[in-house]
Amino acid sequence: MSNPFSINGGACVAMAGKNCVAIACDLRLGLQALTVSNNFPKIFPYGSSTYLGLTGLATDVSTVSELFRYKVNMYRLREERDISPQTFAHLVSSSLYEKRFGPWFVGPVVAGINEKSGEPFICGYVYSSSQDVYVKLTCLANDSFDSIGCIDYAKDFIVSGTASDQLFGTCEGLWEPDLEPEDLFETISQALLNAVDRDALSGWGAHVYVIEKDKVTKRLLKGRQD
Amino acid sequence: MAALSSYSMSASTPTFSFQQPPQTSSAAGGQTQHSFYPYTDNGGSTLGISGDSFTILAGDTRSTSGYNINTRHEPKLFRIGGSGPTHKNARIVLSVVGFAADGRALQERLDTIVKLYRYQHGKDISVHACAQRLSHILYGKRFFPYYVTAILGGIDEEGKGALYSYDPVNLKNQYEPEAAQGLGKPQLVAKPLDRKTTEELVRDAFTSAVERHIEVGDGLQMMVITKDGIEEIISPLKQD
Amino acid sequence: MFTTALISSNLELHALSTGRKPRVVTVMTMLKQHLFRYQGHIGAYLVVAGCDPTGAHLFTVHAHGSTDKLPYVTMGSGSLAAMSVFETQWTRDMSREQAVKLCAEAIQAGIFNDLGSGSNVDVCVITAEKTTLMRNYITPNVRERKMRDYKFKRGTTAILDERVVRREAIEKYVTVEEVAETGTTAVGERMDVDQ
Repeated sequence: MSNPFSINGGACVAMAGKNCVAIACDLRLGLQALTVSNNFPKIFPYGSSTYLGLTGLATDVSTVSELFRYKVNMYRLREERDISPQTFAHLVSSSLYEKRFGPWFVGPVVAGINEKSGEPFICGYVYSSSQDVYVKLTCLANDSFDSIGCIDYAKDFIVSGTASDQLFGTCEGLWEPDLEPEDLFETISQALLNAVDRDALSGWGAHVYVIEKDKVTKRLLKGRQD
Repeated sequence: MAALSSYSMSASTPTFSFQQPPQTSSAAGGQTQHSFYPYTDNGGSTLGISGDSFTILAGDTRSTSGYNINTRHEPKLFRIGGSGPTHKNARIVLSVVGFAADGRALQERLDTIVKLYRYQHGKDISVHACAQRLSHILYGKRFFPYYVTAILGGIDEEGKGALYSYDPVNLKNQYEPEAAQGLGKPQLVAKPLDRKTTEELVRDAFTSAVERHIEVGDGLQMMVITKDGIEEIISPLKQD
Repeated sequence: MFTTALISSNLELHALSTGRKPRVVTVMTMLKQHLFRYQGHIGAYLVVAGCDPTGAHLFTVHAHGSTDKLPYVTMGSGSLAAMSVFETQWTRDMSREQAVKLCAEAIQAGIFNDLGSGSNVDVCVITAEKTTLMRNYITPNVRERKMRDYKFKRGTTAILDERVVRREAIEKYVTVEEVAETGTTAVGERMDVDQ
């Protein structure tokens, strides 16, 4: 009730595959147990292959997504190019820290493919209430360190939202390395659908984006409407 | 596990189960109020799956308090009934997770009742009757509960797998095999899993849980109940 | 993370303005002053280590601004487990190999005996000449192979709508023009922020 992260409900997950990434969210918007809307997507595009998922307090989800639209547009005007997922992840990070002592109540997930290197990238942030600070979760593939060429075990998926416990379970169980785009779609979809079915505050349909180097496929999933 | 967490945790704040209510608090007027909280959470996870002719219960063997490990081998699964302290010929298994001391107390009480049942009636108790009795035991302590979530598994009178789960004060559910809902696809038929598949599934579930939960690890205790008896399998899990 | 970035940036400026190599005590002092100003609200607990013209130094800095200077230090939830290894096995003037081994063992004590610590060991060796970070120096907790395959058959998930956007489709709305003086080729300013 008093936790701003679980008033409206919602879930978001990102997964990495072989030369592709996927990001998915549910569509529910609620006021505690009452469902207000079943068409409230939580994934926003910021360029041709950079996507941001936002769960948490719905008013902050809308505001923060618009704030990043503004910031990314300004970046594009200054730089005359699209923002890369890595740069965007840093932008999210510093924008969250800017509100260090009065945070946005959101759980962001960044997913994309770096247009130059073609490397998949996902990362997430959690708000740690014990520390009162946002913690950057995981970075994948070609983040600035790890240049020695050692095998990167940062396989991974990122989860966020009221169904995050359930998503951790389904993802840890279903995910495997080097999934092709079509298989990645099935895996992320089943992980999300089955997780939200066990959470009263998430569900009511889902959006899934599969991002490849030269195309993005957006799908609307059929999910339980209860 | 799920039932316990819904008792104490709010949905998405990363609180751990060992966070306890404050023992001392300064009340108005500068007085200190002392209190005693009689429960601790020893962590861990258990699960149950039933098949056509068997039931599997499994649990990790780590016992924790706070960030410490009490022991790496504290079983959460107990045979109920049978004869003597070895529970010879038992066909019922109880799993308890939560406060380990309450778990042991509950197990001993149920075990005694099941054994007395055989002395009085000259036959073994059915799982269903045992499940009902366990529900009464838990509810009997409605206002000072056993701080455990229990699962009871066995073989029913028809030889099929039977499974019951409990929250700290009552029977929650009797599990029946259920088919996945086919969405716009032909309705799937519920097919019980075979034993090998189920055992592999259980192991994968636990290795996955170990990756994401700090209170789960060290060992996997698995009990397979068939009409021929209870087979116990203990295998290692990661220790970090 | 932001605290270290801020101090690192200030330290660079400090080195530039003094024209000297920065000292470990300077970093420690800057950190403690910064953290003290925030009265513990910035919850950073750090180990500061380094070599400077005055020798090798080791400090710990707590969120409220208190500091320690010791021959061996540990921090975090596994610090007690790690310290117990140091207290029993540490000796003065250890060789590089000995020190690396001891540190790795201390961390492993934390990994296995403290629930808040886990996975792998990173070790960083700092000498006057250079710093070597050995990421995943020991990996004692690799996940075993799953027993079953959980890949779904393609077409399992029911789809209501599908939309594909290809890069060419985006690019056809973009016109690229090279602007240059006659005879010279245009070279855009290179930025390395992306790599």
